[in-house]
Amino acid sequence: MIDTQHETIYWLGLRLEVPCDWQIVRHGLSPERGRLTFTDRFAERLDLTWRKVDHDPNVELMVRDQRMRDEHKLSDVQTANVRIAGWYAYRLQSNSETLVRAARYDSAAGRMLEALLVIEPKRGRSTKVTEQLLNAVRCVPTEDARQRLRAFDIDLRLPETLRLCRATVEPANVVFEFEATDTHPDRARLRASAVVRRMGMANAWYRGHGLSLIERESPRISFGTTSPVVVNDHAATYAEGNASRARLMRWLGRGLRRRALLWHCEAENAVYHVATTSFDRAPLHPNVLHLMCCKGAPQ
Amino acid sequence: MKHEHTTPPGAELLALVPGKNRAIRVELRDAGLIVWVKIQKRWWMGPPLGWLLPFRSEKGIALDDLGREVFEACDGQRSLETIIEGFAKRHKLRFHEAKHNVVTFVQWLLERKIIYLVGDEQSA
Repeated sequence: MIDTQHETIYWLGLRLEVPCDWQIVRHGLSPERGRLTFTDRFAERLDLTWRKVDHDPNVELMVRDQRMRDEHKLSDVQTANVRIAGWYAYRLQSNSETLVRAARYDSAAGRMLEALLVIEPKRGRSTKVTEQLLNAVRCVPTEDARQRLRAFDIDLRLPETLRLCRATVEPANVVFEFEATDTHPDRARLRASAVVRRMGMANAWYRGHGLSLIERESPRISFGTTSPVVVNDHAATYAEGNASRARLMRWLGRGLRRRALLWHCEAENAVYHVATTSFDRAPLHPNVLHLMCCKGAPQ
Repeated sequence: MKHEHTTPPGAELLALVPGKNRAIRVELRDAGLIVWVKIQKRWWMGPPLGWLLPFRSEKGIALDDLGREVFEACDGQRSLETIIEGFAKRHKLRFHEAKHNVVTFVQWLLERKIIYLVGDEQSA
């Protein structure tokens, strides 16, 4: 961590530390190619893009070419090289703001990272903080940390069998959808899927009816088994039901089962809902997503 | 490296100060807060049709607890940024989440002429 005013973001194998008041406004879902754009209260501040490349690119040459193009296109700006460990970067300075363009190649992950930082002199960050920000951008090295997802106030560890396929982000309502990775040898896991939803402002609408909320989230499923459980020291509701309507499929062991877990985190004023769908013979329990709340996630 | 940069006009919006329209009437009921807004009379609402039909002179708008919270914060002193900060703190939201909720609701109040917005000349 840079300091307590920063938070750590894990996204598709990338690890960043950004100021707490920054928010992701654009996000990519592919580890091959994508982007994360952050804004502060007023404007866009960081645009980070990544793409998988097969061989070591000449990043220094690419950055030098881009700098020449910028100098040619924008006549009223001054450019200067910036030395940031691991990054090839330059600064574009005009009267109103300063931009920093930076690029690096992460050989361990085979990813090319490019960053554009916008620094507004009046209320923006200093150059030193800019350097700290770029220094904090890392491709997460370990296999374990690669499965970590921490963004939009959701913090979880994915099992290797799942990958993020959709992220719907609305104010006080974030939904991450996961599907089975097609590389897994066990075909029974291929139909497995999971949904994680975080609903904020719970004190305005949540009245403690966990089961009815679970049923509302999965309207076509009748939950036969329900039980009270404890998740992250919170009282939670667990429900289980058949997702396959055809009884024959269930007799043949090909019935899909829905498992849902819901709890209210008072400290965050939010309700968490985790639901999984999987075959009976390869059950996927909501607990395997290791969803943390109350900022108590392991570092 | 094909980044295109645009700066959204967020700072100007957040500096605006909302205040209550003095012509409105506020009534507290069990169901919540009712704000009565005067309706502008059309030419045909006057006599002689107005003698026969009792046209209402104001319309009531009910606000729930969250709406009331934002409405009461529009006191002509606090800027939108301060109101959003307070809302985010009370409901444990991020600033951007609270901003979306508050700004949408403030726009709704503006359309109904319940509040007004003031800012400096640059922001106006």
